[in-house]
Amino acid sequence: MLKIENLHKAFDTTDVLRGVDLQLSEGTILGILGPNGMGKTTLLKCVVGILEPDRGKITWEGMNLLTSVEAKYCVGYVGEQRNYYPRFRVEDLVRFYRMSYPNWDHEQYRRLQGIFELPSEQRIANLSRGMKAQLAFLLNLSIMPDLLILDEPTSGLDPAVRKEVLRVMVDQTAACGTTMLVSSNNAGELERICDAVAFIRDGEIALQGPLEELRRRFAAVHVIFDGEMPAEIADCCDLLYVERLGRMYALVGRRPLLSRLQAVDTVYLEPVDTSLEDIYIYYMEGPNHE
Amino acid sequence: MNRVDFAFHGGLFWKEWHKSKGMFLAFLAYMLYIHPISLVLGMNRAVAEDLDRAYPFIRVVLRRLQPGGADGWALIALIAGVVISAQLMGEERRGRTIEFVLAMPFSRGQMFFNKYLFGLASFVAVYLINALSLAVVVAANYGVLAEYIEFYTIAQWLWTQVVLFAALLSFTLVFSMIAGNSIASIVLTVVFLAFPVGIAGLIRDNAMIIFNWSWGEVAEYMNFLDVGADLSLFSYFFADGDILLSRWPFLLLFSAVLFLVGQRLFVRNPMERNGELLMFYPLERVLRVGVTVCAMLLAGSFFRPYDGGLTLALIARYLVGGAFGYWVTETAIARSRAKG
Repeated sequence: MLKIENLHKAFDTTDVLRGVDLQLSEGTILGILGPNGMGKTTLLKCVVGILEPDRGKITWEGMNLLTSVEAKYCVGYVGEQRNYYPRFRVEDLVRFYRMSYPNWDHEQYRRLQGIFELPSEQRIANLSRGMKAQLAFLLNLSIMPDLLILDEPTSGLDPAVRKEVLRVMVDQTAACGTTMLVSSNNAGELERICDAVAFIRDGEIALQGPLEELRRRFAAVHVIFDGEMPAEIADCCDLLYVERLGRMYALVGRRPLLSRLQAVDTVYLEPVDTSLEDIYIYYMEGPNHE
Repeated sequence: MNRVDFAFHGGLFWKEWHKSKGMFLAFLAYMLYIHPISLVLGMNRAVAEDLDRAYPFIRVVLRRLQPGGADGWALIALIAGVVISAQLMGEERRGRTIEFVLAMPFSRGQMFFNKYLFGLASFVAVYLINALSLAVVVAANYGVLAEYIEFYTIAQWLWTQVVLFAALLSFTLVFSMIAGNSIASIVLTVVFLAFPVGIAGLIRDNAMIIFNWSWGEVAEYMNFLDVGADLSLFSYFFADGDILLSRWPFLLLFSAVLFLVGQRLFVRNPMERNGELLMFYPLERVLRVGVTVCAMLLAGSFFRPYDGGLTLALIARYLVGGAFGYWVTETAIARSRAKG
């Protein structure tokens, strides 16, 4: 289990992470969503040891990731920037990884190279952004990670490669039980692959839980009231978002909103599916967020 | 993980070699040119013409092997040493490649140690190859050269240069741990290599202006400034006599201490500042004050011949120099922060 406890990180006088607590069970994929500049990348960089937190603890299977080199043998990281040595060839990086990770599996590397078709003799400087992303996946999946940290893994990829990357991620978890922590701004993409999500806002985890549970906690409805929207609904703290389309209202809120609506006079009431994107937008940007 | 560490890692060492081999091979080629190849060219001239006419040329090469015999060519070697050492860390910071290495299973101490080890091994290899090549050239022309050079001179040269470059590597890496990119690292290293000599000169010059002292008075009252200049690493490259031969234990100790300081600084580096001018916020204040004061002293000293000795003009020079120094520092910090 990945356990992050009370993680704090400040850049000069600006607090970026303010006591992040997060738990992630083995074999699950947890997506982190949050506005830009709210600490997603900082959190992931702290987990893999690029940045040193000011306070807090990060453990993987009981081993302290901040102090143990051995704990990192089974931790992969696909960063957003993918800054590799430009004069290195792909095969040079592969060699460096082989020398650095005892669990390197060359068979796995060959299998993935068959999927991504990266030329081994190509210099990093000549690789496109998408090819660098594929290389990052290739390297980090070949170390047979138990924990894989991914920061915007599909940014800059064309749709076909993006689909392939997402498929490889899900396959990896299914086949090897790899736990993944994925940061992304693409809620739709995370919804396709994640078992659980966490929303980060102002350096704190604002909401987290299994995806299905979150869906159950929130409701979206289309409703036509008999007259104006009753005050007990308009002022209700469970209501997160209101949009009026003629006489019809599109409402998004926490689950108790539905029973409140059923208790008032309505002409038309229809629950609609809540996507992760809906929950994210209305929870993070709605007027009544916690 | 962020502890001081002395563990060799084949992967890290190989990575450093693969990353920096071009620079080291260029350095090796340069050193071979100014030492054994130049000696061979001198001997060829001696054979083609005569020894008396070729001797001045040979003497220049042989002098470079003597303690205190460093010339302009050796100064270039010194600068090359600084640049090569600085890029070991600086380029990783500038290109942000350091981030993916930090995410790999190495401690920071181990990363630093393997960089240092690679740098030291490379400098030793360059000088060893040079020394062996020189020995071969001398052996092949022993009848002529025995009068001017002995094998122990080459061995002595090898040892002193290795000790000097070990010190230079440690010195440069300390500034690489303070600076956030290779350019800042090179500039800081060069400035601080020359600093003890330069600041002593500036203080003396300004003291002469302010107190109206003569050279003799300045030398008498401010001779304590020579201590820093004598002990500066820069002075060892051009030191006369047997200073280098007698002080090598001090240089080794200097290297070891700076190595530990550098490793400690790297372990504490706030990595979010990679690419910026300085890695630590408090040092920005030190840099502002330092550059402002040095620019004041420089302006006070440099424009002296043009103001007719007026006190008001001296104050104006200090103010303008200080303001310029402060502005340069502020601009450099602000620009690097935007890139960082």
